[in-house]
Amino acid sequence: MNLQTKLTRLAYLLTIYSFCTTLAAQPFETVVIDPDGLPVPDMVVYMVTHSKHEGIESNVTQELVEQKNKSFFPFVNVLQKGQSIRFENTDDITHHVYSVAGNNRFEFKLRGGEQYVTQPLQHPEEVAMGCNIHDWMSGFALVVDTPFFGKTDVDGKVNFDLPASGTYTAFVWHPQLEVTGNRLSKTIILDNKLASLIFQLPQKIKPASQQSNSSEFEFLEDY
Amino acid sequence: MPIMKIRSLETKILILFIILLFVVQGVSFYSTYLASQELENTHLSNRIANAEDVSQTQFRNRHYYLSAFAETVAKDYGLKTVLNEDIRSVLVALNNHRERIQGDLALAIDQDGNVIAQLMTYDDKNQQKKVRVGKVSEREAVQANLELSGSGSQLISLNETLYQVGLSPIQNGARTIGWLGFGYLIDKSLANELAHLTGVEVAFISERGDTLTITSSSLSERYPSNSPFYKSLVFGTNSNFIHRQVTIGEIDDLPVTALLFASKADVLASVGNQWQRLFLVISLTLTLSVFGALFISKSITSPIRKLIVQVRNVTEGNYCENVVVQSSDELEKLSNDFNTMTKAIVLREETIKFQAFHDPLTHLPNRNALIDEIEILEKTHDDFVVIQLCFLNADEIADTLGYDIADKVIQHVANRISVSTFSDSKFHLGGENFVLIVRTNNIEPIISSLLAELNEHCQFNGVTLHLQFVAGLAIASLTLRTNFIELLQKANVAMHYAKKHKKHFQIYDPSFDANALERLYLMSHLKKAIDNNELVLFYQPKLDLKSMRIFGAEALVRWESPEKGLIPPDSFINIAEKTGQMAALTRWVTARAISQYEEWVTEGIVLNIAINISPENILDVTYCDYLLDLKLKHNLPDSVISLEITEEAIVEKPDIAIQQLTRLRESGFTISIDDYGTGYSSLGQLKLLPVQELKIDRSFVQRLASDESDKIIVNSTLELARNLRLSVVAEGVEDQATLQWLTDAKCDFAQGYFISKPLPHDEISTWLDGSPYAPSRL
Repeated sequence: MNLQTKLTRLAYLLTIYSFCTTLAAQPFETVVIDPDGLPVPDMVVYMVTHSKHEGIESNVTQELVEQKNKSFFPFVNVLQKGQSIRFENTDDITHHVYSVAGNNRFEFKLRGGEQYVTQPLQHPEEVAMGCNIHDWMSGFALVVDTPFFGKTDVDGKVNFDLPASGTYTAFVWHPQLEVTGNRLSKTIILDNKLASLIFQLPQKIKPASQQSNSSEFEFLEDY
Repeated sequence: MPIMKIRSLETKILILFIILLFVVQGVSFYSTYLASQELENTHLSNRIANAEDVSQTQFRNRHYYLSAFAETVAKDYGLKTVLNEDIRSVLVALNNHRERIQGDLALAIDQDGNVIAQLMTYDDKNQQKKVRVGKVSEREAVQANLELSGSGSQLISLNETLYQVGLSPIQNGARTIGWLGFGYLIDKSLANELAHLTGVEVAFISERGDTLTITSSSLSERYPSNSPFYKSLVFGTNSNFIHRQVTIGEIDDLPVTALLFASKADVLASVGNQWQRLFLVISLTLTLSVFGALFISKSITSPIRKLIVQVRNVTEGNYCENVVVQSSDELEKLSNDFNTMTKAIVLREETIKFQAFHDPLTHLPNRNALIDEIEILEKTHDDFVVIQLCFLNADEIADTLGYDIADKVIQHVANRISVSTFSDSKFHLGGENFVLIVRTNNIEPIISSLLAELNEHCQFNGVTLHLQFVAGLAIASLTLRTNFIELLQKANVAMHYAKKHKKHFQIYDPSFDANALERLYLMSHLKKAIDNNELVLFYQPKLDLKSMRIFGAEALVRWESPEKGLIPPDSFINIAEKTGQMAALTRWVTARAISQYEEWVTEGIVLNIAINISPENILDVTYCDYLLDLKLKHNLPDSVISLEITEEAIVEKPDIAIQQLTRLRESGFTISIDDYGTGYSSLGQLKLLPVQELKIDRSFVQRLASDESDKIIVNSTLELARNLRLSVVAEGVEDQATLQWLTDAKCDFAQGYFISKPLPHDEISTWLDGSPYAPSRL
C-alpha cells in the first residue's frame, strides 16, 4: 500500500473517530454502592455537562406520583426542569398535597381517585412534598436542569447515552443522603475510554421513611 | 461516796420498783426514740423524695407540654405556608399560639437555624405581663444557645434568665423547613410555685466545678444568690438542712439543677410536738408508777410493820393484841402463825413463871416466890414472922426408904403445911426445908400449935414415920438486917440453933450471929495467917511410963491473931478442912515442927514430935513427897517424927491410905492412930494398917480412975495392942490415979494436963528443967 493510500486511510479513520466522538452518542454507566460495596437502588443520578449545551430538548412528559396506601409513590422522583408532576390519588380518602418550601410551590386537595397536574416546575431544586392531612406522608422530587438523569435500578446502576465527550459533573442525590445538599458529585472528562463511574456512598441509605401512621386504625362501615 | 446500806424493806421495794420503772421507761423511751428517729429520717427522706418526684414530674410535664405544644403548632399549616414569606404573619400567628399556653418565649427559626421571629414577655411598670419582639441581639443570643436537634425541650439562658424551651421542627413532608419553639421562664415565681407544690424550698442553680450560680430561689429574701448558704447545701456541709438536686437540663454542657432544700427543724416541726407529748406521757406514767410503787411497797410492808409492832409488844411482854393481816395469803398465814406463836409463848411463859416460882415436887411457892413475898411485906411496915421449918432425919429416910419415899414424905409434909391454917403463906425451899410467913408478933402460941399439928405419925409403904419438926423464927420487927434476904438467913440460923440444941423451935437472937461472924472471919483470914506466921505450935509433952521420962511432944497448932488474940484449933481446923486450906496448914505445921526438933537438938533436948495430919493429907501424894523431902533435907533419924491420923482417913479410901502410910512408915515415920475408940474402924482393918501406935481417946481416959467400964475398954485395948505389937498412948491424963493405973496396966505412954498442958516452944526447956520426968540431956 502506498503512503497516500495509508495517509488517506489514516485521515479516514481519524474522520470517523472524530465523527464518532462528536456526533455519536456515548453509553455511560454509573453504579452507586454503599460502604459495603452493595448496590443501592432508587438513588437519583444526573449528569451536568460543562460545555454550553444548546438544543436541550425540553421534556414535556409528566412525572407520575401516586398517592396510594396513604403514601407518596414513588418516594423519590427526579424530573427535568419544566416537567410537571401528575398526582394520582388511588386511595379512597382525600389528600392535601403541598410543597411550601422553595420556589416550586403547589398545594391542592385531591379526592380519592382524582388526578392533579402541577404547573411545570421551573426551578431546579428539591421539592419536598407532604400531605397536610396525613403528616407522615412524604415524597421528594428533584428538579434538574439536565436531560441526563435517572434512578438506580436494583443493581445500583443508571445508564446514560451521553451525546458527546466532554467534561461532566455526575451527581448522586437522595433526600436521606446526609451530606451537604443531600448529594455527592464527581466531575469527569468523558472520552472513549471512560464508560462508567462508581459512586461509593459514605453511609448506608436508611430505608425510605415509613410513610405510615404508627397508630393505624380500620374504618368502620359507618364512615 | 460510801454506799449507804438500805435496810428498810419498803425503801428497797420502792427503789427496786423505781429502778425497774426507769429501766422499762428508759427502754421504751429509747425504742420510741429510735423509732421516732427512724420516723424522722423517713419523714425527712420522704419529704425530700416526694419533693424530688414532684419537681421531676413538673419539669417532665413542662417538657412534654412545651414540646407537644411546639409540635402541634409546627403542624399549623397556615403558619407553615407563611414561614418563609411573611415574618409579620408569622409573628402574629406565633403570638396567638404563645398566648394559649401563657408562654414567656416564642420562637420561629428558619431552615438554616436563624431566628426569624422571637416574642418575649416582660413585666411592665404595673407588673402586667406584656409581650415584645426580640431584639437582634437577643435573637442572636437565642440562636447561639439553641440546639436544633429534633423536638424536645432544653434550657437557654437569655438576659441572665433561664428559659425552658420546647422545640419542634416544621416539616414539609419529611423535610425540615424550620423550627418553632415555646418557652417558660425558670424564675423566682416558678421557684415559689414549686416550693408551694413540694413543701420545700427551691432554688435553680448551675454548677461549674466549685462555683455555683444561683439564678433564682424561693428563699432569695433570706438567702440572696451570693449567699454561701447554697454552697453549704450542695456540698453537704449543712447538716441542718436536707436537700436534693434535680437536674433540669444543661447550659453550655454545665448542669442546671433545681436545688430542693428544707430545714430539718421546719420539716420536723410537727414531729417536735410528738416529742413533747411523749415526754408528757412518760413523765405522767412515771409519776403514776412511782406512786403505784409507793403504794405497793407500803401495802407489802404495812402488814410486816404490824408484825414488827406485835413482835415489839411480845418482847415487852404485852401479849394482849392479835395481829390481823389480810393483805395476802402468805402474810395472813404468817400473822396467824404469829398469833399462835404468841399464845404458845404466853402459855410457856406461864409455865416457866410457875416453875420459877414454885417447887417442882410440891408445887408450893419456892424461894423466888418467898423473896418476892418478903420484899412486898418489907414495904408494908407490918410486922411479920419468917418461920423456917424442917423435919429431921430426912437423909436417913432417903437412905433407908429410897428417894421415892423421901419425895412422898416431902409431898405429904407439903400437903400438911399447905392445909395448915396457922400461917399466911407457905413456901418450899427444897428438900425438907419449908418457910412459913405469919403476920403477927405473938408467935409462940402459933408455932406450938403448928408444930403440934405437924408432929403426927404418918405411914409410907407400911412404915410408920414419926416426923419431928424443928423451926427457926425471925421476927421482922426484932431482927436487925441490911436487906430482906438476911431475914431468911436469920431464920435459918435460928433453925440450926434449935437443931443443934435439940429444941423444937428457936426465935432468932442476935447473939447467934457472933459465932457465925467469927467463922466468917476465920475463913477469910486463915490463909493470911499461915502466910504471916500468925500460927504458932504448942507442944504437949508425952511421958514414957516405963522410964517415967519425957520422950516426946505432940505439936498442937494455935492461931495468935493480932485482932482476936489466941484462937483455939477446934475453931479453925474445921474451917481449914472445909475451905481446902488443910494442905497448906499441915505443911506449915510439919515444917515448923521439924525445925523445932532441930532447934531442941542443938539445945541438947531430944524430943520426938508428933504431928496431927488430916485425912485429906494422907490421901495427898504430894504431901507425902513433901514429908519425905523434908526428912531427907534435914537428915532426920528414923522414928523421931510420928504422924497422928484419925480412923476416918482410913475408912474413906483404905487402899490409898494404906499405900501412903506404908510408904511413910518404911521411910522411918511412926504412924499413930489418934482418938482411937471413937471411930468405926474395924479390928480387921486395924490389922492391915501399917501403924505402930494407938492413941486412946481422952473420953476413955479422963474418968479412968473412977469408971470401971472405961478401965475395961482401956485394958482390952492395951491387950489388943500388945497382941498386935502396937504401942499405946493414953491422952487426957488429968490426975495421979489415972497415971498410976495406966502405969500399972503397962500402958506405954501418957499425955495430959496432969503431966503438962501444951506449952509454947520456948517454955519447954524451962519446964523440962523443973519436971520430975525430965529426960537426960545430951
